[in-house]
Amino acid sequence: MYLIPGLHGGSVLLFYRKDLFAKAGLRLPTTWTAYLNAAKKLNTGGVAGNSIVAKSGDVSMFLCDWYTRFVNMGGILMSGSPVTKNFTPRLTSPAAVAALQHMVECVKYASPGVLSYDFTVSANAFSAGKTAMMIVWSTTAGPVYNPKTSKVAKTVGVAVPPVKGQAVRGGWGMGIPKNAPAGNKDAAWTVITYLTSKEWERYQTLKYQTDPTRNSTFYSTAMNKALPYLSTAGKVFAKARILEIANIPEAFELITDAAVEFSAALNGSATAAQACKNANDKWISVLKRGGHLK
Amino acid sequence: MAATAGDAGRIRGSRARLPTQGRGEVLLLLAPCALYLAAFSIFPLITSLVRSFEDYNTQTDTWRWVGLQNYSELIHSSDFWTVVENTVLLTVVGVAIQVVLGTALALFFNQQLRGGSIVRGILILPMLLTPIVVGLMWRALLDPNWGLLNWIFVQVGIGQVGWLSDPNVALWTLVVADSWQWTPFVFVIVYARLQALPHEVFEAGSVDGANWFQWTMYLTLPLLMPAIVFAAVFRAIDAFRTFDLVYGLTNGGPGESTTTLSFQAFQNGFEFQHYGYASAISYVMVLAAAIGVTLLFKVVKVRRLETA
Repeated sequence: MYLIPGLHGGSVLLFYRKDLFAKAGLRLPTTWTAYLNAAKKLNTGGVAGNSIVAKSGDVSMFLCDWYTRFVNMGGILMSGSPVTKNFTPRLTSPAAVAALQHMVECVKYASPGVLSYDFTVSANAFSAGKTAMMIVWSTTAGPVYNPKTSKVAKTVGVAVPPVKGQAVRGGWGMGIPKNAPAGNKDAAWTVITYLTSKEWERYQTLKYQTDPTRNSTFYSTAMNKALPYLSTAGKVFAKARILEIANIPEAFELITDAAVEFSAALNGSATAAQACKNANDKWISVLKRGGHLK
Repeated sequence: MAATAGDAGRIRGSRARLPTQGRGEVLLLLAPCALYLAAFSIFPLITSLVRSFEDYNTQTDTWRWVGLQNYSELIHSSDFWTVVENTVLLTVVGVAIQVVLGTALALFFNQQLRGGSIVRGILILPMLLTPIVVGLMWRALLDPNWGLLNWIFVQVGIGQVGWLSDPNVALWTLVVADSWQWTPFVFVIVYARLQALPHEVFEAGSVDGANWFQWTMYLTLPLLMPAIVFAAVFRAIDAFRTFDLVYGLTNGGPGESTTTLSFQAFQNGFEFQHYGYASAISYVMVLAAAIGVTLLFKVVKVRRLETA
């Protein structure tokens, strides 16, 4: 199969309320300790200091909240490779546990109902003015910056995640099966050429506020005038990491299993260390079953 | 009475077998139903049974025979017994609430109160909704930020309740939502039976000086028992298979506190593409349901023989 990026890319951004930060005299957090302190200070007056995707099993919990903290704390998710059948998870590493523990601390300064938040509810709460900060998909910026769908469109700001400004790289691609008939391949190539053109990408980004994949779109002056978050999204996208387990079929199952175990730490029924160990054990079992680990 | 032995044979034959010229038409009329059953019941049952002994490789699009590995993995998995417990609790407690409430409502509305027919009509509305809609509706009602229930609780001083986020509460929230939807089903069944009960029995009871409690305990309820058992069995089978309410309301969480066997089968099959394992879960459900219903009917039959 031939596969090229198209449709849209994306990473994760720190969304924050500029007005609440100014009122509290806070600067943008550049460390995770500063992030937590800011959440604590901003957790007042009916506004939650921060938000988390904490719903059990939600992939965005793992990819946005946990993985962003993890990679910026120096974490390495896997060792070995599926090819050499020694693909081993490192969910019990200090960075893994610290990332989850940070989320556990953040829950204290989040909405009382945060444990049932998926990423849509979390974004909606932010747009409704109920949250001061959140770390979530960059494509959330579209509705959050739109005055028709957000009460905080004029006061929202975005920033790269603290420390290294890294996060997971997401996106959607298009492919042509190698065994497709020749005529269909040519037609498909024509469509792909059109859908990945600069002109279409700018049209799609403006109309649907999906994230682009071209730097020329991320950093275009005209595009940033319409969508002020784009250049920041481009900076994160450039440094974003492809999830290490993305190229095995069990990726989705692994992410869901981890998110289920992590939610136990978030709701207080397990410690962060225990939740990480349980997730690690589940991953080992799934990887062995898939033949990626002997 | 037959005049001759030949007549008797023809009469017996006419009861035992259809006339030859009509048999083709009968088979033709039955064929669509038989084909439908074969295609959508028998074939999937046999196929999924075979698949439960196989493992699917998504990269090579091939199936591999693994024997009992899926069942072994299922029984030894750390979350299987939690999921079984959730399913049993949801079924037993939910159906018990629905049977008691539904019967009580049927007895209450049997009093022919003014406006009763209008209220009865409103009462059965929840069971006309699809379960996924019920799940989403309750999710909105229980939303921590915008939901009515938590708002009321905060106003009266009770405070926020983690209906969907507290692992100790979420399963009971499911039971309540399920009971809200299906108590009307029990009510309809029992109420219909109440209307068909023979008056003579109650007139005899009245002559003997029975009070309301004695009527209910010794006359009404025993006569209603077939309808109650019928409703309970149907609800138990349905509750055991609950998926859409879980999907809409909690997505199996928090943790695995509301994951049911159906939800686990869906997740493994459609989200993780672990089709063989999902088939194994489904067959465990089939076996459990078959054993449960068989035992239940044996108990009911024994009780009927005892009371006959």
